[in-house]
Amino acid sequence: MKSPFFVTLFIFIVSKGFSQEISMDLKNPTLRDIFQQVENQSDYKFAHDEGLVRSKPIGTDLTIKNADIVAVLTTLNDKLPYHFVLNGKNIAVRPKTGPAGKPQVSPSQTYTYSGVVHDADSQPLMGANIYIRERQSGTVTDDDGAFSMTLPRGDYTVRTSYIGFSDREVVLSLTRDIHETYELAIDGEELEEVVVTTMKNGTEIKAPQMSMNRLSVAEMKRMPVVLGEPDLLKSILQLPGVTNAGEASSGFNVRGGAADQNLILLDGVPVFGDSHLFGFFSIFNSDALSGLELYKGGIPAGYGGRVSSVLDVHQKTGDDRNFHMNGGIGLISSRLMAEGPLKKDRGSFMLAGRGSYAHLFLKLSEDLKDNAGYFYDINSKLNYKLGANKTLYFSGYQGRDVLDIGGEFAIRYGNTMASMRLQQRFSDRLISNLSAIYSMYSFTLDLNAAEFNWNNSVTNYGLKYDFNHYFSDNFKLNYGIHAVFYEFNPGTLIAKGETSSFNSTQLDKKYALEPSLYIDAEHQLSEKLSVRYGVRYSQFYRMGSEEIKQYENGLAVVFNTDFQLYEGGMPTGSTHYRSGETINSFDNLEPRLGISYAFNEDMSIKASYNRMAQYIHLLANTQAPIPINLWTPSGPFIDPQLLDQVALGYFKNFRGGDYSLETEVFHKTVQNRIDYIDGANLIANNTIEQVILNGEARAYGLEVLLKKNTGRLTGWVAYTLSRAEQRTPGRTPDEPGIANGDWYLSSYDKLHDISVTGSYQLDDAWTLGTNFTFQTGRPVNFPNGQYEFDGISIPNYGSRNDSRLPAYHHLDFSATYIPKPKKQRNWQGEWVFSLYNVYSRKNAASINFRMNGDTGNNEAVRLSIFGIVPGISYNFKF
Amino acid sequence: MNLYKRISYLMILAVFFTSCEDVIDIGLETAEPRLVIDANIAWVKGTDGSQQTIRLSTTTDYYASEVPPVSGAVILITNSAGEEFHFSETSEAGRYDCDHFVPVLGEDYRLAIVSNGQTYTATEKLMDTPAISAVEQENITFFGEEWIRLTLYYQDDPEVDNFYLSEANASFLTAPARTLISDELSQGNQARVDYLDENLEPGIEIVFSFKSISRRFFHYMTLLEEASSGGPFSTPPANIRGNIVNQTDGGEYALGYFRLSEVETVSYVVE
Repeated sequence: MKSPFFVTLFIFIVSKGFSQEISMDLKNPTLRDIFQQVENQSDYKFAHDEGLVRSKPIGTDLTIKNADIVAVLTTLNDKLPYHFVLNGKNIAVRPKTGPAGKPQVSPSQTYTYSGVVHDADSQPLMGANIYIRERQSGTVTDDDGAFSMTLPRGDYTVRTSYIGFSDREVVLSLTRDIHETYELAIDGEELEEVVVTTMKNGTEIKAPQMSMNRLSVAEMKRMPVVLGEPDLLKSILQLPGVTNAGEASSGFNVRGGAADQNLILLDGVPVFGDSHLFGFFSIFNSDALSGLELYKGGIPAGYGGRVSSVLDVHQKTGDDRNFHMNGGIGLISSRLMAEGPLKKDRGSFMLAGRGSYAHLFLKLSEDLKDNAGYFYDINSKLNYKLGANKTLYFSGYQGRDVLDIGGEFAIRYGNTMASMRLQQRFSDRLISNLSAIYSMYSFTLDLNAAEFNWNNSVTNYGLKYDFNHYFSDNFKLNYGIHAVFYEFNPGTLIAKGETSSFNSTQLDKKYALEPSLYIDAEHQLSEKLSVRYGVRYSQFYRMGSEEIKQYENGLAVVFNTDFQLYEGGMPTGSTHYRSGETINSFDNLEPRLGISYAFNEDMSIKASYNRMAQYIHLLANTQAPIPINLWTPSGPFIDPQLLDQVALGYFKNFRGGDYSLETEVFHKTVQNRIDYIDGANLIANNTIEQVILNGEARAYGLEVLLKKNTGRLTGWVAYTLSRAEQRTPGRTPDEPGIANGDWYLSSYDKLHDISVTGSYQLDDAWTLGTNFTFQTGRPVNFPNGQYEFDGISIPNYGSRNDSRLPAYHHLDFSATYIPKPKKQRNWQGEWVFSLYNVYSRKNAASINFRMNGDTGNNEAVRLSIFGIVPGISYNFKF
Repeated sequence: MNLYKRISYLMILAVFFTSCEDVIDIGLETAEPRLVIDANIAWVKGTDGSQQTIRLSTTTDYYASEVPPVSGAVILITNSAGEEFHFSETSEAGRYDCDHFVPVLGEDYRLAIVSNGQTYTATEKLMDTPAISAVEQENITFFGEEWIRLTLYYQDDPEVDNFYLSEANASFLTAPARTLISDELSQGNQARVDYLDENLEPGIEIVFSFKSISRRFFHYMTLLEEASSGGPFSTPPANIRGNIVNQTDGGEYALGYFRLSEVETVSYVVE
């Protein structure tokens, strides 16, 4: 961040000068230089459309001495190919060339202009801008790269732009309904130097959507990561409001929310287990992805089921014209992706695989050859056009982790997911998507030593029918109906062999159905004011067959006043529910609202409110999620979590979007956040209701994101100041609740969180990247004393989470080298070198208090996961 | 069976290659001292059980090498018939002995302690313990190493929910190796307890002591183990409460537990 940025910021804050006399002496200036001069010396402001190229030299020198504004504009009108028109304190700027003026229209004659935007590999570009110059308005493409708008008959200049791609401008003569396909080329691929184009990476000013971040795979791949494995989940940690429990821990926390409150979708299919190797790597193979959006607030009504965030990850669509492959070889795993046409211009496939191979080294050792430890992923996506208006999509994923120690101990876990989607275009204004989805997560433990096998799983069957309905440029409706059927297997224990001391046991399976419907409107009320409003109505039916226990006074957890502790209640009987019979049900109306008010093209404020319901809960009382991933549904003893979140934001683009600033404050509360009684055993527990209490959570904070979007140096600084707390008060005055019923810090509270991410393009061959992260250490418990019992020294802990680990920080570097970048070859390779934790900070993953077995003295032991870690990987495509 | 623990071991193993542990200095605050009652009535099978010991101490600074004993307390156990067993302080401060205790299986006993003007009580039943039917030895390979595994067998009572505490004592162990067992998944079976240690080698003698414990004491010991082993993934429980009630002032609670069990001991020499 160099000084011009701060100068601009300063100017913005202080306001402009008051002198009305304007002078300038500029050698071949750009429009921006001229604008700056005029705006600095007067209180006039230029108004122009987003597509105006301001960074190109005008090709002539400009000298003006002590002229008033009218004289200045006369000179400019003479010398430049633009019309400058004074209108109050604003100066409107329009190009002289091109289809001038407003199109000749009779208001009754309107047509639909729709189309699809994709890249050179037929990959749909989601979020691409379609901008109509003459109307100074536009739209954004949806998940499938599709857009639609209604325009009066006439001639238009259409500019199509997308982050990281070169803009494309076409002239359109709209005399009937038109459906077009636009292909964009990757920025810089054909161009020798980095071209700075206006507005394309700036923050979204007018759209009412806030609290949302997009990351492209290209951005992810440039970030330095441990051992050079590009990792989606590690990349999003660089965004404001997103943290996790530390190195080698799966899951992530958004705005003080828990890891199980994130809805992670892969092509619309919910993901239940997000990590490999106990959290070292995420399950997302970067080669198989096109990009992601992370919604932290203001979540549209089309999403539901989790209360904290939505991470919507998209798999790549295969190229329907040519066959390509790309891949990478890294220290931990290797990747290979193939894509190509199924039938030219009709359909395509994408198939990607990734596997780790570190365990192969185990085979080299005579002692360790019976051990195995590896993971793999297979991603696939197929699409096929059934007709002009019908396309069928298939997405699949299968991933597993295997750790087998000499056949004695073996664990296997992973996701299997699939979805089939039929997209239908009824008209240029109405598109529907009908999807059937399947998702399963399973965890298996073989313990031969103890002669048993354990398995638990969660399975999800879903049906979705979604509609995108374009009424006009200013009004768009999304609506649909969803239904998800859940099957939870909390555990199957199988005794192995004749002599096993275990009884084969099937814990009670649980079933639930979650139907919902939603309607979501995107409505531009005026040039300045846009709203997005909607509502989701969700229901949840807990269904049989299941045996539900009854308890004395209906309490599954009771408080023992003698010993001042919570214990399981006494069952008094049970009720059997037949298969399909409703045990109990919940329903919630979830309103969503987003408003944006744009002061001008470069500055807006936005506000949002959302209520969301979450009916399923992850059972975990460990600090970091562990791969067993036991989920349980709401039901007779567990209420659904309910979130209310408000957020307020200020958004500003500087210098035509070269820099942008996003500032947001948020406050959220979650009702019915489950908490556990001390010492709760969650695994192989058939009466989980006996260890669960319903508590509540809240979080609030401030997020600041400063971005430099263009030029050789790009990147951002993100700062989050926040607090995350929870409490579980007693249900009666006799009960103290958990931690005396007071608010205590959630284990993922991070007061300060600073992330700096930068990428610098040195030349055609080399790109350098860096990350810096600083976070307040997470809340933990430190003992306030010790005592001796039964010959062992016991540390005594006071209240919950009243201490903190030391601050967590590290600095990382990466360098990407493309050999012979200009040579036109089929084979393109790149080397990525990385250095994680450059100054080898020993970040504490935990601090344990224990007795030293040799000295008998108590000591504090810090566990740190990574010191400095170098990495290298090679990526290729052809 | 503690799956969490086993999975934690695997996770530790997984991070073993990159992680490191080091001892660091962390200043800790010390709370006001609190009374700790360690009342373990153990009736070793084949003895008359008349010799019993109760220890009193307080909490102290976490880094202190010794815990302060509590002297001058009056300790009494009463059975359901009103028979009294007095414990008197020995020459070792904080240790109180009784030489005329009469253990009866299934009998209810009440402990009463008066210390510093406060009266603490607890009531428990003396638990009976099944016999250890066999000890077996097996050699297994585990992560490239040969291990000796010893297994105890006993018959679980199918009629009731049982909880057990097994302790292995050996000359190389500074404190007994404990295993807490619930019969939740092995109800009524010929059940087993495994014991593994890298120091096991032929000629070494291991003394196992095995006893039934109450459900509440099982939970209590589970919490203590969690607190003392402090795995990197668990949330240590705060202020673990036992079964002692302060009759004078409920806020001034004591830590510790009063429990009574029949104890099965068996000695095994590794072959």
